[in-house]
Amino acid sequence: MRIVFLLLITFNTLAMANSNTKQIIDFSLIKDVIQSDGLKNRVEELKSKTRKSKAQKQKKLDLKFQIPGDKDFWSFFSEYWLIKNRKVLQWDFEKPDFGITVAFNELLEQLEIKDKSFKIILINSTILTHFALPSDVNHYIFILSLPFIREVKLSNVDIAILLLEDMMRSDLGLMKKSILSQNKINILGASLKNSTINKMTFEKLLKRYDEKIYEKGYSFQDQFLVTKEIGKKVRKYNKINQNYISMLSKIDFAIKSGKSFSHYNKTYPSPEMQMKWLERE
Amino acid sequence: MNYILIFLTSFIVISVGGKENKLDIFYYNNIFGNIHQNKSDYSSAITTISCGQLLKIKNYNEQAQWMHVQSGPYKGYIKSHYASKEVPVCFQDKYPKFFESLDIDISDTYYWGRLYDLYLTSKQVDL
Repeated sequence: MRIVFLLLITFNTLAMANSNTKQIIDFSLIKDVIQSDGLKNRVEELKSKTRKSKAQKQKKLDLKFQIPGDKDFWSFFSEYWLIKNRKVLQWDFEKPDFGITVAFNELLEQLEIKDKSFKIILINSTILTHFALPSDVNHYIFILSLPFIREVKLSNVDIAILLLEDMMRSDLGLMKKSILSQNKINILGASLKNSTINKMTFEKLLKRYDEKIYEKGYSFQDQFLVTKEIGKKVRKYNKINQNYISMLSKIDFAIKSGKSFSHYNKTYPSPEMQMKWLERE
Repeated sequence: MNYILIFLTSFIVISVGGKENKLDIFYYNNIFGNIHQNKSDYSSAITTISCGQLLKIKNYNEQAQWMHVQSGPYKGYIKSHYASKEVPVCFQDKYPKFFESLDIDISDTYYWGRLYDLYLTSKQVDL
């Protein structure tokens, strides 16, 4: 009888303990406390963080199936073009350090042009004289012909201004606009998740590079725009302004007297006109 | 006395050996690059490496223009600013499908590295 009584008491105690536990984990009863403690906000914060992290992961995954957008495409593709054109351009040759980067950095400093980075590749060919390849924002890839520099007898100061002109062409996006509109290419940033890449598109783009760089060059309109912009930039710096005109005059003389660079005017029409435009300023 | 001498000698050997074996880990940060035999852009390339490749650096010197690296079985030199301590964001990993579609062959990879050897760059260039 005693045992039965003891068992009843034990069960009763356990049942009471259970009902107490239920009361403790009933959050609705302490909702106000949680809210006043800011726990609800913390939960929202954590949920938002998780959502953001998931979205970032998804974005990274989507990128893997994408053609690079305008931000990442150009530097890469221009270097790809340089690799494919290595035999024609002959950039793989030994040469001394001419101090070109120092002179160009100095010019940029004088003109208070900041936060720009550049790469210059010297070529041992006369097929082209100088060119700025399309690149990412504030990054520049310049091609410079060593035979051209020697023939025209350009000093480091002249070369720096020549590079400044190319920098301006790049900033104005003249080549990008030209090859994208010609080719009607609208692939930058496109997703390849459910499609395959049409390799011909990139072959075409390489050909557009060739055409623009080796054949078509820039128009009078482009040249006028570039010359005016450079004119504006260097107007208040007398010495640099004089150097600009002197550089144009050296090139003008060389292309009129020599044969090697008679094609210069086809790419950059024309130093003579540029000097006249500057005089009218 | 002998025991003390042995203990001291072994301690010196261990500490010297420990210094020699101290390696820093870096990662190559361009699309492709070449490890050179000597500290010169024009010295022969021992091997071509790609972005993100792990490089072991012995006796790292922050000021040096070139660093002696080991990548797998290959030992040689690369320019210091082409290696970083953090894992770089590599173009080929960011856009793998596009990158593979260009069929970049083995000689292209070598010349890509060569291009980076021959570039004249601005000081502040962030590659």
